[in-house]
Amino acid sequence: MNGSVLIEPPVPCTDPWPRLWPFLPERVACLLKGWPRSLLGAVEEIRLRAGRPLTLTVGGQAVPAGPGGPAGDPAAVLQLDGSDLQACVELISGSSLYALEEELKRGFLTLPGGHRVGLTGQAVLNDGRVRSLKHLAGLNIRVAREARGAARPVVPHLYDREADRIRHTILVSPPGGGKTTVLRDLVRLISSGVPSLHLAGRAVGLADERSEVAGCYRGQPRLDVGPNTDVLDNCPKAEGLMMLLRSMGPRVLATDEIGQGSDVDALLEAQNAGVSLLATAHAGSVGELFRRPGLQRLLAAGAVERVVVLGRSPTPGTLVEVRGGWHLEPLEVKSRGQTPGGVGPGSG
Amino acid sequence: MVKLLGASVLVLGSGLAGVSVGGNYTRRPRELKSLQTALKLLATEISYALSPLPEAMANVAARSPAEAASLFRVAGAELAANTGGGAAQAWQKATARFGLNTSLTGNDLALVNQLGQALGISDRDDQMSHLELVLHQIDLQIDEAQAAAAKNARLWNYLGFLGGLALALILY
Repeated sequence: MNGSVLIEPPVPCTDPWPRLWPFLPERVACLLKGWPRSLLGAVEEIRLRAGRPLTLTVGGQAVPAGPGGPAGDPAAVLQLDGSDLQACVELISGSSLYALEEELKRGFLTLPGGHRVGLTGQAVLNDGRVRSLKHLAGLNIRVAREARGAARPVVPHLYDREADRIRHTILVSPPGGGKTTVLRDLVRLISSGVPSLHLAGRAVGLADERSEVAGCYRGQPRLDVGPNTDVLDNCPKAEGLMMLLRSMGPRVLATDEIGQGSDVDALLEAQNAGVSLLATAHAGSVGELFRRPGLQRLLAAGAVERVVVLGRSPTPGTLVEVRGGWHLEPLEVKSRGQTPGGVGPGSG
Repeated sequence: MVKLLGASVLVLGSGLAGVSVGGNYTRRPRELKSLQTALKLLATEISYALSPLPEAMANVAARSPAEAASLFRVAGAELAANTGGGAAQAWQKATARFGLNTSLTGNDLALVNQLGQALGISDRDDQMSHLELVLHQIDLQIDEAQAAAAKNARLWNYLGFLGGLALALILY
């Protein structure tokens, strides 16, 4: 977050740590550098809270961090204090917290590399609405991982070769199920094309409200979302989808975590404009999905042709089930139970 | 002849010493004013442009009067190098180097230095209040420096020459 604008190509490697070390306070970085690589590879979140122990989320479990690995003995856990938090905030803000007004209002920011940092502290109110945060006391760094090929088993179910179009699709999983990771790879594959499926690359518009899919830093995607993808970063989904539709002429529109009524309106509008839709939604199962009011409307309007259910086991992003047809009944999934492309943990 | 030469060297030497001390008094208000202008530019960078601090420092260095530019140039370079100490350390290093080559007093420098503890770690309003406080304190320092300059600059100029002359007469 230094002054200069970093222009680098997206990094294809899946090891997120080299990009993370510069943003961690010294004590935390030193401790974690002593962890075995295999364990670091499974870390999904790093949680820093002032006055409390350093906690990592590994495989969905909260793990107190000690030297060399998870600490069994409470005395071995690294206790963080206010100065650690202060140092981390300085590092992630590039010593310019004042420049992150919008980010503080939303409660999160995105690091170069696509890692999202959630922030808590004391809210500063203005007319009853949150204007900013002060006294930051809790940070949650979500480790973003790229998993190239993660969406490869999904693509054949979505591509209608006869009509040469992508079917309107919702990716569904519980939190941490790999929705965002799979969506990112799906966007990349559709954008660049899959020759073996005779799927030609096409323009994709991505409304990335929380900067998690493309990991944009200063408007430029830092994760690989394909050569033919236009990203509207940081923009409210409903507005972003309409802007992309009007201005960029996409054949596919993608967005993350839909649910609100306004998102659904925008999706329905886009569907009527002849654009294919890709979206993700939090839901433990298809039954839960059907119970969410906003999504009910989308389903009732016939705007969903495929529902792809992803699961956490054995690894996040595992294809569990594909549903389609008039009543969204389960379709046969050949690759059932396989790990598509070896999705790493994290990026739910 | 040798005596005369020695006496004139003495008068010239002590005269120049006096001028140099007097010059410090006249330079200090000027430097404080430059610093004030530069800090006002920094306040603009922070409150309106919302530039990240390294960029803000570089912009201020480019636009501020020469006397203060080096402080912001060094601080900006330190921040961009991101050695891990954050804004406070970068600013401290910059003020320490700036202090080596200036007419500012220890008090003036402490005022500037203390700003580093607050730089970049809070929201815009808070940054503004810190900067405004320092600007106000610099205002007071300028008044004091101008009074001191009016009183002492000429005094030291004369004192140098006359003191040298008196010494020369005694020794002659």
